[in-house]
Amino acid sequence: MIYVHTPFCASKCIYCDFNTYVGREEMIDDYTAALVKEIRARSDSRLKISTIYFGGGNPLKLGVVNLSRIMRTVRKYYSVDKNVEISLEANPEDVNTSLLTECSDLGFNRLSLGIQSFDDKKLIFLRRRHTAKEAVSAYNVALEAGFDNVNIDLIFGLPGQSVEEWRRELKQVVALEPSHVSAYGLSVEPGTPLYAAIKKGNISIPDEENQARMMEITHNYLSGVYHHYEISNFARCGFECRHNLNYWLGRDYLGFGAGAYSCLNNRRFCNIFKPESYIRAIFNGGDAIAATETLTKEIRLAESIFLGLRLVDGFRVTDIEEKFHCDLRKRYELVIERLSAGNLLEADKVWRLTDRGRLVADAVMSEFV
Amino acid sequence: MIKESLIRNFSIIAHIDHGKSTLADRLLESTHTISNRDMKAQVLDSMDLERERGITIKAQAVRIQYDAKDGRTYTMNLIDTPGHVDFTYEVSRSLAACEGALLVVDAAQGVEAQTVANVYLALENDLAIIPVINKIDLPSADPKRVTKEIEDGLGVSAENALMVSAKTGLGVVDVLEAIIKHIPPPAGDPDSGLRALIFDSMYDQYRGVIVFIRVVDGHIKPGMKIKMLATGKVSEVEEVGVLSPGMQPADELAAGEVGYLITGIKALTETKVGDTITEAGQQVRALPGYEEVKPMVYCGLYPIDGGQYPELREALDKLILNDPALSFQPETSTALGFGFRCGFLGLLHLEIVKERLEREYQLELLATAPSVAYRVRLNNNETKVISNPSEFPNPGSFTQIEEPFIRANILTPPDFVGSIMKLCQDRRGELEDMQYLSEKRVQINYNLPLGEIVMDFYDQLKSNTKGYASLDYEYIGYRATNLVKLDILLSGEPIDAFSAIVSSDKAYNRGKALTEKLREIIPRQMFEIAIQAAIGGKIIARETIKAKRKDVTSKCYGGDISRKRKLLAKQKAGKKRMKQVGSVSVPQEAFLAVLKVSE
Ligand SMILES: Nc1nc2c(ncn2[C@@H]2O[C@H](COP(=O)(O)OP(=O)(O)OP(=O)(O)O)[C@@H](O)[C@H]2O)c(=O)[nH]1
Ligand code: SF4
Repeated sequence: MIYVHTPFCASKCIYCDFNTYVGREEMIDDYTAALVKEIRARSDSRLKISTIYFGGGNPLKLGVVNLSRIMRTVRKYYSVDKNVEISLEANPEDVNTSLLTECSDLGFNRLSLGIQSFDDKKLIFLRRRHTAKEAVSAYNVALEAGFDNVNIDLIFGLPGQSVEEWRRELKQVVALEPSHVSAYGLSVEPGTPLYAAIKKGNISIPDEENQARMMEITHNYLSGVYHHYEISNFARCGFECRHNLNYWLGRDYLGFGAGAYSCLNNRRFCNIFKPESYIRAIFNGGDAIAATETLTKEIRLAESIFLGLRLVDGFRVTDIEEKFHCDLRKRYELVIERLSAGNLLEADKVWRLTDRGRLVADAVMSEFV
Repeated sequence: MIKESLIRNFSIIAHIDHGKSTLADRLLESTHTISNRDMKAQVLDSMDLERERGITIKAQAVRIQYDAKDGRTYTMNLIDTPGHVDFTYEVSRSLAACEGALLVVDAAQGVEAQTVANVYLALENDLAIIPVINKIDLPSADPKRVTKEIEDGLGVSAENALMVSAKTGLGVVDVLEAIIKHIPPPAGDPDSGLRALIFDSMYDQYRGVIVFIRVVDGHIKPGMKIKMLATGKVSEVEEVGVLSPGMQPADELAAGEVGYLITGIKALTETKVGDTITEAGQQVRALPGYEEVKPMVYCGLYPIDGGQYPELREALDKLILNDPALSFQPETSTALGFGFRCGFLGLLHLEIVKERLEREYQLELLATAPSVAYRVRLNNNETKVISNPSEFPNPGSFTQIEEPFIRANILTPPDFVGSIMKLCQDRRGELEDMQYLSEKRVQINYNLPLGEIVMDFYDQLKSNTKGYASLDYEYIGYRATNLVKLDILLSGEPIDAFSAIVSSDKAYNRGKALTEKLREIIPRQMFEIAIQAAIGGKIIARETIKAKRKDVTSKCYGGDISRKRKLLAKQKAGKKRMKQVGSVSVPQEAFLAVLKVSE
């Protein structure tokens, strides 16, 4: 699986702590060239690629020509599976029928739309660049362009949002019948303007109880329509995001571009974050690796458990036990006992979070790291 | 041998911060006992901890040679005394080694509680007292008022009180002359059998036990076989010497002299402060005043990380070499695991020991609420002493419980009399006496259960009086009172570390206050937590901490799984810093809250 990062955005959203930069359009071509070079340099035709994900930032900022160059390079230097899933992240204001048709022609077969909300006031607050109306039409444009696998990203727990308002948002998304919905709770990350505003006391987000209720109705409401397959992800059967599933199943991945993470042969490493430094490093002929971490058996075991628990179906104990040659039940005997007694975890042949457990997943998962 | 008429043995007694150490420094300087260059400020406080806290924990002595105005050279021994109520017995033994004391009183502050306590100890030991009014350089100095307080409050004549500034050196020579004039020389018999008083001892890892002694009669020299009367320990003198201020070996120490003694003894428990040293085989009368020091305050010490238990044991074993007043025995708590029940002379002693364990031995410790030793008269008329709430007998199995009482002596500016009386009343105090020492100083005496004092009394007193009141107390014996055991349950399980023995009148309010406090302190967790207070199995208060409702980062970090893992690890570490009690994580401060909660 391959991830390609585009670190450019038209403006910065209030909550965003992703590795993206505003107003660096002039370096887009250099950046693409660097990407192509990196993809080529790390080529390995033995690697079977079944999913490719273009994320950001905003990949469409690169332009179709650049996207096509990247896509050609990937196809040339890796064994890309016939049934490959190729996802493209896009913001509603950027799409139109001809652009998306071109993308579809390039091989993109999954579109992830960053809609976030169907409420104009909330969109303005979030510093998004589209309106609710544009969001709906972007979705229709995607259908027209032939995308039958479209994800809609939504965020709940916004400042001033009531449980009722969130329920309305859910109704609206279901009415559009996308094949996939990701519903994330707003997370307040240090360094963002949102964090600063909350710290100063200018705004506040819904309290724990209301956030919990929003999560509950999300789960209840969307489970009726979709397969709830991961804490925040819902899909029509067969439309689960295979790329993300691969992360949760602990598979290896290659990340290209500024700040992109790769995981290969029990090593995880990330590239230099700043695009200009990334470009320079690549053109100087070397790699652009900023940091490497060796994943010990202990680390991999812990990750397998907490990533596995993110999945609604959990994981089979024997799978992990065989992979790591350990007795999972014995190792976590007391933890399991307590979590099961508290109705947070089902721990038979398969370990999975209960509905209650999913709301406090971090607390549960931290028991295993 | 020095003629006794040329020896003066004295102490300096003072309330904390009135300038005892500074004055001692000046005396050493002006007699060239120590050169200016070597002079670390306040040489007498040797332990780091002492220096930092600015208090004197252990007594030591120093020899001063003074060429007096009468043309003769005198040998003076300055015996330093610890300055805190916990160490009253050590103070009294240090004073017993002297013939006189400088009573240092801050010219601005006036007489304080420890001034009073120390003067009484000095009078009990028949010492000549020289009042020294210090800090007269301060603009706020009020020597007239302070003189009156010394006379009226202490009954000590202050007509000839010396006016001194230990800071500038003003009046220091007068102090030296006054010592010679007003403090009598020792009056022992150099020719009779040896009698020496142990006024302090310390453990040195190379030399074993070093004993500080005052020779009263006879003399002591290397090779002599000696016996400690109280412990019966017989040993041979390896070395004697004087402290000037470093240890300087001497041929012998004779009647009237002060110095140190090294024998083959390796355990401080065999050289008890206050004991009499005699020549083995000779029959002499013991010097008066020896007492077995008994711990007055107890608490459990537990390693936060249970794996540190062996280290804690080792550290205590080592510490006791230096501090025989400390006692400990293994104890198990269902809540806290393996630890030790430790006995201390008082609260300050407790704090010092805990701090030394943490600092010098890198241990992270949890101390349970301090308690005192109760005497329980069981139905079969047996008496049982308990120092841990978990030993509290079942209701109906005993006829009476007694608890130790103290007589508190509080000195305060008149403004705070009301709030002090309220505090003491709240703590089951009984007013004994109240007296104005001057228009600025009132002395209040209360009889109070020691158990109430160990619960945050001192901090409350200080905060109720903006720090102006001072406290000292003496132990006055056991009295029968009405006591019950208050238990705290977390999710149905009694948590022994939270149990306390309390007065039945106060149990209900205390239980309520404690459950409320714990509800504030214990964070929400994955499960709902019931906090209950119970007396004799009957629930009297209940609070609930609702289960955490939401604790999940819904966004996935793409390939940056390491970040998520680290965040989870951090979350877990935060939890680990708390104590796992059954299924509940309890922050450390909860265990301290037990003593800070007000009814
Ligand atoms: N202005 C002034 N300050 C003084 C004088 N003597 C001592 N001090 C200050 O008072 C404070 C306490 O003095 P110490 O000598 O440490 O008091 P102490 O009685 O030995 O205190 P403990 O060792 O804690 O018992 C210090 O800050 C000294 O500098 C004095 O004559 N004048
Ligand atoms: S569009 Fe996405 S990546 Fe760009 S600033 Fe907004 S949230 Fe961040």
